[in-house]
Order: sequence, then structure tokens, then C-alpha cells
Amino acid sequence: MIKGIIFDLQKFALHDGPGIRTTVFLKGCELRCKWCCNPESQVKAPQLSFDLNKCTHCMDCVPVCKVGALYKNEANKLGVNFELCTACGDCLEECTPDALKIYGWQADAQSIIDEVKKDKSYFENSGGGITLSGGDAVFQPEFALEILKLARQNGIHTCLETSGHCKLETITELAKLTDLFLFDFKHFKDEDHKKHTEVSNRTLLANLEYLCHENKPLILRCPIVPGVNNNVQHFKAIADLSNKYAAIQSVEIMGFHDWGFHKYEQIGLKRPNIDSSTVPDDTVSGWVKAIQEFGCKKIKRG
Amino acid sequence: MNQHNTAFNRRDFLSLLGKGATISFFMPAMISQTMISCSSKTIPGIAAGTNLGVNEMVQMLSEFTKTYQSFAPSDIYLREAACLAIQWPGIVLPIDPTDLFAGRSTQPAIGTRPQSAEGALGYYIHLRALKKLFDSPDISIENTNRLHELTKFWSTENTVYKTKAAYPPEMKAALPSDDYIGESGIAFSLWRMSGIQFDYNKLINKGISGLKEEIEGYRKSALSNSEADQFYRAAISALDTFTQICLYYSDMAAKMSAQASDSAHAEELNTMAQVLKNISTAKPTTFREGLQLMYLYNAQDGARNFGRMDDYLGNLYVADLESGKMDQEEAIRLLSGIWNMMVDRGYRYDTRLIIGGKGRINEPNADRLALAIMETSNRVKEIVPQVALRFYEGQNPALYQKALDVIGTGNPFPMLYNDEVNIPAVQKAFEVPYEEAIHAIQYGCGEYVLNHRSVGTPSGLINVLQALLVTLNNGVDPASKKPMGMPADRYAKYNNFETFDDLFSAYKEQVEYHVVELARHEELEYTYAGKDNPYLFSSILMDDCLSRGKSMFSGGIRYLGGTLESYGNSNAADSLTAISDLVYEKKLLSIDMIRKMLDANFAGFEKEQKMLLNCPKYGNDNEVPDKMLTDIHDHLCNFTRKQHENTGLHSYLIVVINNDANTLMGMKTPASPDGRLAYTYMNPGNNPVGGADKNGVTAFLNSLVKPDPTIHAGAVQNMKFSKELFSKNRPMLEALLATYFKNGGAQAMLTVISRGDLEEAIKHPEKYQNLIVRVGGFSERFVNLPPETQREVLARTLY
Repeated sequence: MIKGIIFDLQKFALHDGPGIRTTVFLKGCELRCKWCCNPESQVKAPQLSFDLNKCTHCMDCVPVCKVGALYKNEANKLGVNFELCTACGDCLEECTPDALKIYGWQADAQSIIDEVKKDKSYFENSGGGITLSGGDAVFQPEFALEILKLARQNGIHTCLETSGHCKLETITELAKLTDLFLFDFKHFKDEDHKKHTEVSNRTLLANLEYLCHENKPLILRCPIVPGVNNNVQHFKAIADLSNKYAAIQSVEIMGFHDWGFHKYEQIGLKRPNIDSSTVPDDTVSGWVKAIQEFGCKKIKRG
Repeated sequence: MNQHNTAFNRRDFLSLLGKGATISFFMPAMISQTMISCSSKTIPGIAAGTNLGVNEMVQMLSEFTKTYQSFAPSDIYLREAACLAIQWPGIVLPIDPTDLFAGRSTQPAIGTRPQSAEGALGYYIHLRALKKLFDSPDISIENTNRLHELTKFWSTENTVYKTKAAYPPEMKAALPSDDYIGESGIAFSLWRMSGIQFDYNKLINKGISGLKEEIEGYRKSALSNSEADQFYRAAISALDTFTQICLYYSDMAAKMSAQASDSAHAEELNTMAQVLKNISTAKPTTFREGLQLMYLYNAQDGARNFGRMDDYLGNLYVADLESGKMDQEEAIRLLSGIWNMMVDRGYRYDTRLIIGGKGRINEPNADRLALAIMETSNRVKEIVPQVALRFYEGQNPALYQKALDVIGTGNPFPMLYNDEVNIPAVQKAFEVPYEEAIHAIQYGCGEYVLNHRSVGTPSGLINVLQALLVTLNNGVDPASKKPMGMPADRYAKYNNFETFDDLFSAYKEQVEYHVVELARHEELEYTYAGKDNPYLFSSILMDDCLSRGKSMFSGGIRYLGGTLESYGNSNAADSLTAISDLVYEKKLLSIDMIRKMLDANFAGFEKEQKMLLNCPKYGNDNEVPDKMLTDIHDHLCNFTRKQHENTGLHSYLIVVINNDANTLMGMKTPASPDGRLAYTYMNPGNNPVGGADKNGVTAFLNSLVKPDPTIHAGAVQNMKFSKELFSKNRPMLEALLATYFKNGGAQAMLTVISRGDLEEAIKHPEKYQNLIVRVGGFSERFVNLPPETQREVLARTLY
């Protein structure tokens, strides 16, 4: 049985495709978007999270850590060396206030489908199903394919949320088992895409084009981040893309927010340097309007 | 159903009653010491003032007592009729200037009714009202002495006392207390004849004169001076008393009208006077008359639930609308007037009002009234009446849609009841045909009865979590260290719980030991209820009392049912799951160790507590803990159900209902192996333990439908949803509920999360694990957001 790493399984998801869905979050992503609100999803391996606000500095966790990742620092507080941590999870049992936790666990495709299909009657009554998300669902391609295959066998509608950054063969295989793609579109300009996500947009645009030519239904999901892509050229690119392909069912605009940024420090990363706070609702509405003015009709807020 | 409305320790009084002789000297002093801060406003059914001054009241009580004493003990029919004729001036309260209806009521200190305050039935003595009389500055010395005499007499003559005196030794051992609020215990008795749901259709269709004609007809064919003859004559006398009360109120309204300064108010009161005069004998001919008759009759009996209002008033409602006598706004104004009276009466654990469902006489008319009833609740926004909507496939969808609209505004009513599941379940549980099962409605906290065909008062409580804890300690209550529950010699065969089966079997025997006595207690309570009272107002409107010539508890009621409230079911199941996992499978803990950490309330055992808390819990659609819950449920329900074979009861069924007994009993229940701290709440109804359901709402709903609904008399479940779901994702909400109901969901009580609830979620995240909010481009469990974001979500997403 093919196994993979997931970091959440959320039932009654209403915003990851049509109907009532169960979203499975696969861990790992090639991109490093500056505005990423799920930093715990970026690397594939399970990783430790430490919530300083919950810690009582009892130090009970220190002796059980075989690699010395947990220690008492100069201020007599708990210190964490994330680089040493192997995410074995032994410290969790010692931590009564739940300040320590591990993001990510290994799961096999069959057990995921067994859990997902418990809600099949809800899917059927609402036009819902399973959504593979991430991270990036294409980062563990064999695992994703196996889950989708089993979902199909069980008559469950499938959605795949992805940046599209993978080999064409992968997207081709995934497309055979996916009923609807939720395809990210972050920046139309390659150099800006590289600057803000650390990867080129060429591969993913080629994959997007392939899916559209194959007439695979997809929803284009567009995060709009001040100082990154809130400009008319990008808005026009969104509109043009959506008008070019009938396969694009709709465009969803998602305003930048920093509500996941607290998690960066918890897993030993620095907060991203974004020159904006959470975007107010009316700003997002303004963007939607601006894109509509470029002729994009099938647009809504995500 | 909850009878908890006493702020002082009633146990002291009850034990005192047993000593008899010193009571007239001692009681007033005792009351004044313990009840200094009591306020009559906090007791449902006890209003601040009565029509009678204190000396007049004592006079009335004295006459009431003399009247009672003037009859032979066996002459219960005419005795009650005579007592009703005397006691009513102590019950009726004046019309408030803003009232649209008469029928405010209180309970005199001594009186008779099926269910009275302080948890009593039949002939009762009411401590709080007594204290007020003793304390009154206006009471004469002569009347103080008189009151002492009355107190002494009734302390051993009240129905509860006489019933308790008849307890056989085994019952005394198994049910040592009825004070479930003040004492810890496994099983408790309850005192009341609750949940009487009248044949309001008959009342409305016949009116008082029509009822009298029917009774007179039966009387003519009964043998003179037979028991039936006495019952009929007493019933007619009771109705005469009712007529007298209507006319009394009619006069009062007329006088108030004459004195009113504003002409609109004078007209309103004049109408009220006319309505009361009309219904004093004739059958009601308008919606307003129907409402007045229904409410006043209910109040005189002391009943607390209001049957299928859309059914019994639908025709009058539609007739008045169509003839132009009133418009819908006027109807809602009148209903609001009744709602306000219900609110002031204060029976927040009762005051059920059912709309919708199969078995209504004129469904299109009833549907129209049901919509107006829901709109009234939408506007009044109060905790009573507890409106419940029954629905089935093919019912006018406007009712269900209206219900969701009203709930979506943050109103907890109507509760939703699924006929498709409940009717077949009732057929099986109550062993009645479909034609009877369609009349199953709820009262109180969600117990089912067959509308005016059956009674089913819960006369006992069982705390199955406490049963497990005492069992774990081989028959010792871990809190008091005193013996509790089944005799100690019964534990030997369970081998010190060497296997999980040993423990589970011992737990089952513990439960069975109590259920046997609780069932006998139910029967005994009915027997003694029937020995003292015919409950004339009730019996007149309950099948088949009149046709059989017998009162409710003397063979008149068609189905003499009983129910037993169970609490702590999910905690007990989760406890057994944790023990099975950690003690018997993984062998990480021993039973001894569990006892120690529970005794310490986990102090010094925090890591072990975390292990227990991390064990799988009911409510997550996880087979292992859900199976444990259904095992406990099946055992408890099936064993209880079998008790009708050992008693004269038509049925004896578990109810898994929701009131604050789960909290109050939890406050007396020590720490438990599910990781729950000592003296904290237990799970409500059929719900998982608060915060234990962490796998999303569909998983929660899938767990809820697992316990079998066909072996009990009602289980309730609460669900909390976000306002956003109702407003922005209504189709998904509807799909969610439709699937739940299709999958076997019997009932749902929906709470829509408001700003206040989210604030609670910030303070008590453990209770809101399932609350998922939409945050920008992703959904997040609300409790996982940092505090500042939670505040932002509060402001942005929901409002």
C-alpha cells in the first residue's frame, strides 16, 4: 500500500470545491510563497511545533529528547533546536499543556479513503467529495494518484488543489482521476513569480494550458498580495486567462491575510516580510471589480 | 424534565417529616434559617403575590384541610372535587395590566395537583410558600397557630410521604435519596406526575358544556354510587369549578375595563371579559377564545406542556383569518400574549409546544398556524415555549424552511423532530401500532408520550458514570468512602477485574440492580398517586378515562408508561474505552493505578490524565469508542425496557434527555477514567463529552445516529453552527441536516453561534473544538487561531 505524509484531514470542508467535502492536506510543497499561511505544509517530513505561549517551562520534555533538541536556555526557559529534532514525538507525552506537537503523520491511501468514505452520504446529497490539498498535492504524486484512484473506485467525486508545479506526465496522470482542479495562479510574470515563490511559472503555466486544452474543468484560484501582484497587469492576465479557456469554470480571488503567520516561529522559521497586514474586505471587493472590468465574468471571492 | 427548583436542602425536610411529632414546632425555625435569601420569583409556578391576603390564605388552607378530612380516605373523587372548589382562589393571580389573557397562577402552600413545585405530586405541602406565610408581618397569632397545625397534619398526609412510607426494604436500599442535587449517588427517585399532554382537541371542540354533556352521558349508564359514578360526578363538579373561575376572571376584566383610562385598553379588557364569559360554558368560536380556554384549563390543572397547538387551534385560526375577524398580525399579537404568560410562569424545563408532523386532523390549517407560531417565537425570542417541529417527507416544506430561518437568527427553537425515524422507533419501543405511534410527542426535556393516550413521567434518575466509579471501587463511593450501590458480596465473582469483561459485567450488574428498583418505584408512585387522587382536570382529557369510568392512575389511562432519565452515558463509555485500551490492551496502567489517580483527581498524575484524554472518544465516527457507547446504550435501554414484564407498566423506557441534571449530578461525581476532573459536568443527552468531538461535524453527526432509537423514549442532541453557515452556506447546511436525518437522525437542537458564543470559545476552547470558521482563503478551527486573530475573526467574519 502506498503511504504518504499528511498534516490534516478536515471534514465538512465547504470552500475546497463544490458541496460538502473532506479535504486531505498532503505535506510538502516546491514553492516558497512569501505570503504562505501554512508554513507547516512546506516540507514533506513531519516536524515539531512549539507554542511558547502554552509552555510552562517545566523541562519534563528535556530528558526524553534523545538528540538534544530540547534544552534549558540561559533564561531558564525551554529552548528548541529545530535542526536537531527528528520529530520522533517522544516529548509530546511529557508535555501536559500541549505546547509541543508534531505536524504531519504517515498514512496509507486506503486508510485515508476508509475515513473519507464515512461521509459519502453527505457528499452525495450535496454534490461534494474529496479534495486533495496541501502543501501541494502534486508534491507526493504517487500517493496522490493512489488516493484519487481509490476515491474513484468508491464513486467519490475528486478535486485536486495544486500550484501545478510538476512534470507534465504527473499532471496527465492526475487529470485522469481528477474531476475538478483548483489551480493556483500567483503571478503572470515569470521573474516576479520566481522572486516571490522561488520557482519559475513556466512549468505550471504549461500544465495549466495542457489541462485547459484537454478541457479538464478547473477553478483558477488567485491569491492577491499587496506589493506582490495587486497590479493591473496581473489583473488583466487573470481576466485574459479566464476568457481564453472554457475549461476555467470560475476565478476565485483571495485577499492576503497574515492569520497563519504565528506558525512560522512555532516551527523554527522567521516570519515572512510582507509589507501589508490582512487586507480588508472592501479592498478585496475592489480587486474583484477591477478584474471584472477587464472582462472577466466568472469571478467570485474565494 | 427537571424538578430542580429548590435552593435549600430538601432532604433535611424530608427526613424531618419522618420524625413527625416535632415538626410543627421545629419547621418554621428551620425554614427561616435556611431560606433567608430565597426569592419566590426564582421558583417556577410561584408568583410573587396572590389574590388572597395572608390571613385569608391561611383561612383557605384551613378550609381545604377540613374539607379533605371530612371525606373517607377511599372517597377520593368527591374529595378532590371539593378540594378543587376550595383551593382555586389561592391559585388564581390578578390580570396584569398588559395581559391579553387571564390565567396567571401560583401554587398555595398546601394543595393538590399532579405536579407541584419542590418536586411533589398529589396532596402536597410547599415549604417556600409556607415560609412566606409564617414570615408575613400581617399574619395573626391565631393563624400562625393554625398554620402550625396544618403543617403538622400535612407533613405525614402528603402523597410523597405516604408513598415513601410504602417503600419495601430493597427499594430503600437501592434508592436511599431523592436529593440528586445535594448528594452523590447512582440512582434517585423523582416525585411528580409530569408530562401530561391533554386532549386539547376535545377541549376546544366541545368546550366545557360539551365535556359535561359527554360525562353526563357516561354517568347515566353507570351504576349509582359506583366508583365510576363518583368519578363522573366529581368530574362535573371540577368543570363547574372551572366555569366559576372563568366568570371570576370575566368580572375582574370587566371591572378593570370600567376603570381603564385609555379607551383602547378598556376595549381590550372588555373583549377579554367577553371571551372569558363565552368559554365559561360554551365551546370556543374564535382563535382568541380557543387560546384562552386552553391556557386557563392548563393553568388550573398545573400541567406544564401544551400539546400540538397547530392541530387543536388550526381550524379556529384559519376560520378567523378567512372571515376577516383577525389578520395574521393580530394572531401573532395574541400568541405573543400567551408566550409572555408562559415566560412569566417560568417552566423552562417544560412548556413544550409541538407543531407539524403526521396525525394532525386538518393539516393545511395546522400548517398555517404552525408558521404563525414560529414567527411569534422569532419575534418574542424567549427560552419558552420550547417549540418543536415534527416533519416528514411530503410535509409542506415551508414549515421546515421557516424553522431554519428562525433558528438561523440565533433562536434555539424550533427543535427538529424527524417523523420518519421517530414513528417506527416509537412503534417498537412503546409496542404500539402505527396509528398510535403517529401521536408520539415530546414533553419536558424531550421524553415521548403518546398524545393524551399515555403517561410516562420520569420517576427516577440513574447516573451510569457514578455506577461505573462505584463498581471500580468494589461498592464504595470514591467521594465519601462509604458503601454504595449493589451489595459488596456481589463483587467476588468478578475476580478483581482481571479481564475487561469482568469489569464490564460488574458495571452491568450494578446498573441492573438499580434499574429493577427504579421500575418498581415508578409503579409504586403511580399506585399511590391513584390512591390519593383522580386528578380530575387531567383525567377528563386523557384517553380512556371517561369511557372506562376510571381516573388516570386507577386504570383509566390507555397506556401507563414510565421513563427513567439516564446521565453520564458518554462519559461512562469513554471511561470504559480508555480502561480497555490502557489497562487491558496496552497494559500501561493498572486498575489500582486508575483508582489512585482518580482519588487524587489527577494531581500528580497529569501525564496519565493526558493519556486518558488522548484515548479515542465517542463523537468522532470512530468505531471503537462509538461501539462502547452503543454497548452501554443497548444494555441500559434493553434491560430497562424489559422491566415492564416485572411491573404493571405498559412500558418502562430510558430517556437520554438534556437539562442541567448532567451538570448538577456531575458536580457530585468524582473524577472519571475518561480524564474528566472531579465534580465537573457530564455530557448532555446523547452528545459526546463537551469538546471530545474533534473530527468535524459530519463525524459528530455520524456518531450521533449510532445509538439505537428504537429502544428508548427519547434522546436529544445539541448542535452548534456558525451564523455564517446559516446565512452564506444555507444549501450546504440543508444538505448536512438532510443527510443526518436520512441517516437516522431522530432529533436536532441547533444553536447558531453568535458573537457571545465565539467569546465563550476564546475562554473555553476545549468546548469548541469543532467550530470551524472561514478565514480568508482557508478554513480553520477557531480554537487554533491565536487570540488576536480570533478577535479579528469575531469582528470580520461573523458580523
